[in-house]
Amino acid sequence: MKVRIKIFAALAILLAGAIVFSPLLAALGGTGLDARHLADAFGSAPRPLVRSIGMAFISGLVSLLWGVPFALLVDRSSPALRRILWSLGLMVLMVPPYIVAEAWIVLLGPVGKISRSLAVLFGLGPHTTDPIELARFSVPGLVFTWPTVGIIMGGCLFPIVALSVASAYRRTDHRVFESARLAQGRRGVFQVAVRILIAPSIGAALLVFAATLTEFAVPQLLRVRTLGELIYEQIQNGDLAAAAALGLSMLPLVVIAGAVGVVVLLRSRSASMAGLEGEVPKFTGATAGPPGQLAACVMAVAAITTALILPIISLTWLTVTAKLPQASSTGMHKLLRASGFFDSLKGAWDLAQNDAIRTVILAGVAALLAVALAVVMARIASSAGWGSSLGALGAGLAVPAPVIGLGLIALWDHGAAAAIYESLVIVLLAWFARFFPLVVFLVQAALARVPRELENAAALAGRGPVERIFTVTLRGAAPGLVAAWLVMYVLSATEFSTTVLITPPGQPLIAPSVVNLMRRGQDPEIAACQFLLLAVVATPLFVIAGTWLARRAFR
Amino acid sequence: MIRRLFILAVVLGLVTSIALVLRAHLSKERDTDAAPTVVLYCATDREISQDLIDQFQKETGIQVRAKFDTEAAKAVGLVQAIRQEKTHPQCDVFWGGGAFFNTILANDNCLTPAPTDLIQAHGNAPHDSQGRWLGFAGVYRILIVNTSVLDPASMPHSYADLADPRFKGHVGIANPLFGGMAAHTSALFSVLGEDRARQWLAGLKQNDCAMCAGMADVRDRVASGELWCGITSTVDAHVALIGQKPVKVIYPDQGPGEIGCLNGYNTVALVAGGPHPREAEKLLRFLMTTETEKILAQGPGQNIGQLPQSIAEDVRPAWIPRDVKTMNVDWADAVKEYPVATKAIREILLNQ
Repeated sequence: MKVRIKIFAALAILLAGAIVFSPLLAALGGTGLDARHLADAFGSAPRPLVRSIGMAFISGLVSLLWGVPFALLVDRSSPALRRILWSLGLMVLMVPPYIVAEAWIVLLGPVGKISRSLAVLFGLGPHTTDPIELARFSVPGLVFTWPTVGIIMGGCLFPIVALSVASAYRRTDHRVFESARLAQGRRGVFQVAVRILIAPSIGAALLVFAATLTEFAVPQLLRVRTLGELIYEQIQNGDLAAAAALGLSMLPLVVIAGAVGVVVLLRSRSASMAGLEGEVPKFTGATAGPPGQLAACVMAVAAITTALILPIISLTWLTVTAKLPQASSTGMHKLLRASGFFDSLKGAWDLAQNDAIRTVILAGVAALLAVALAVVMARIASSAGWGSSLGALGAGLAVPAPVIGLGLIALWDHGAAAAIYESLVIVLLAWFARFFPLVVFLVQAALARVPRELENAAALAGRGPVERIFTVTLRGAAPGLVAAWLVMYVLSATEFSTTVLITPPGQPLIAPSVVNLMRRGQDPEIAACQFLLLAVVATPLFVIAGTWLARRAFR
Repeated sequence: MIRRLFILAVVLGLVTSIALVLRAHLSKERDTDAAPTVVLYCATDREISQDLIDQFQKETGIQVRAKFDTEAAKAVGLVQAIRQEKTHPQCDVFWGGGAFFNTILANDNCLTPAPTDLIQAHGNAPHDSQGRWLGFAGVYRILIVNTSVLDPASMPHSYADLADPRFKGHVGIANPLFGGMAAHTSALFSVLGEDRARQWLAGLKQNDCAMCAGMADVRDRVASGELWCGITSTVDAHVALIGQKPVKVIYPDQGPGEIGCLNGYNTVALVAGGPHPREAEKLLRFLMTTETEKILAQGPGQNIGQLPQSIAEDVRPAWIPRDVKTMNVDWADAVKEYPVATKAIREILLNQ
């Protein structure tokens, strides 16, 4: 029996590895490693690599600074307020970081709407009436620097830390705080809180670090040369193997950060979306009074400013201030190009509605299959005692998106396998290669929080192993599984770096379409396209999460 | 309940996946049996190309299965996909990418020559010496200048002026390691020679030239006043102009003895071994017409006619002057200069 489980577990781990790493291996093997090119590529890697690590470090730090106080303050507020603030916090995850970066440039750049106004307000503007001198005034800001990339990514990903901390906090029996207070006063409470929360905080921040390390779009927009840019350079030169090998240089860091993060999270049994879970320990802390509620509101607003409020202000600004000239071009896109926000939105929708519907269905299916597969794999691997070995999948996060795309072409554009390559299944495979490790981690965390005792009780009651999974494990892990589904859905629906390479002809998907439309757009067009992308991503989420939240959460 | 939902969800997912594969397989069979189809990889923006695709489908009954690119993918997108698919091509016609990347594809034997009569009819319009790509629908690489921060007397008039110290800290170009600006820089190395091109790059470096995310990004930064001037294309500049931004378009290097403005015209090419050669040829012939160039000139592409008849009929948007002097680029040579240019960019602009 034990041997059979181990065989199954080995097969499951191999399958997961194949899903995640086969494109990388195909890319490495497909063109052959040329030692001279490789040495050349690595020769220019150290500085961009250091910069990549720097921005990932800042990102992890920022996610801690926003995530920990957000979780603690919001979780102590009243149920109604907590529901609102958690919803706002989680909405941050739906905004693609490249949209956030664009908003930062518009509002906080050298001639940003906010930064320049503030500078003038504080008397830093030019003291002259010369219109040219006035127009030339710009704020030597920090937007186009690598720390800003870290700040933006940290702001976009802080809910990961917040959720992890909230989970640990909710699981805590609050009598320990009371005991610590009686024994050592506030200092004692602080010490106990640090001990309880440090592992889930650091674990989640390490995941944020790993995710930022491989980001390409935001550094590109903010003119920061990272390892990602170097990898793109190699791909443009046609040296796919060197590009894949450069990606490998990030691998140890991502593996260490990701694996340590996951292990820490698993050990602290921090579920993935505690904010949604409604799990309340027997002895909870008292709800905070009005000052605490106010502090929670202030903290929430501060935390979501980076990645939610600023993009909303930027979008609104672009929409409201856009001038509306007559269309100066003909064709079906004249509305899109030169009209107001609503006409642009209609134009974008007319052009991309099929893409949107296709994307929603495909991303939904991808998320569904990923969660189902991850449940089976995680269950089998943990039964064999090899659960932590799935952490190695985290290395997949270090594989650059275009390498995955080109590797999949090398892998599947042959003979009978071409049927896969010519269908949308290739897109599913690409999304799996990119995001399956995350889903596995989230599912493992969700399954880990189901007490073994319940399953043992079900076994004593005569339930078989399969029945136990369905009646006890999945039921208990359902909130975490829904969270994993949501994460996979959002990431897949907004992914474009790999998608643009492998989408079958004639079946475009929404993210590449919208990015394409946005590229040359005027203000209303850009705003409309961004709105369309967010709406497409968010609509099914609102339907599913809204129904679920209303029934289960925040009790 | 959970069990039923779980099983239902998994079955639904698997059925959808199988259906997707079958659908692709059956549609491929249908392609060969009944409805004629052509696969188009289109690096030209969808808003520019979609009207023509629709019109071609209407006129010929041939279904176009198009795959589009994004600027975010730079030349890492469709060009690399075609290279990667070389042993089992999926694409019939490649529209866009420019002469530079088409020459790279041609050198990799990914492209096949156009029909001889079409090459001959092309006349003096730009094309590969063997007809493996044909140029049409021109796009000029111009200087975009913010009129709020620069008075007419102090505006730049040459690509070289971007290295002028009076613009220090306020000039921008798209990242020259990627896409169109990589092609542009390689072309300058070919036309000016390595020494002068390196001098230009050194001047840009001294001027703290911003390397933007793309030509549309250069336009936006100049329109906002963050940068004073930079290199962009007519199609991008037009967006700022009709958006009533404070910008002016300058056609660089138009004086006697000067190199002229780079023409980053559209290109179209037949992919070697593409699955639908007959339909591909029809699409190629459809695109290589003055009618097509007229539609592109009036649409968001704002292209300038390149075909002999289009030049005779003066096909161009009204705001673009008639006799813009263009740079004479040997794209085969520019491709040879590409590694030299890239090395120089790294050494000079990136200190590597």
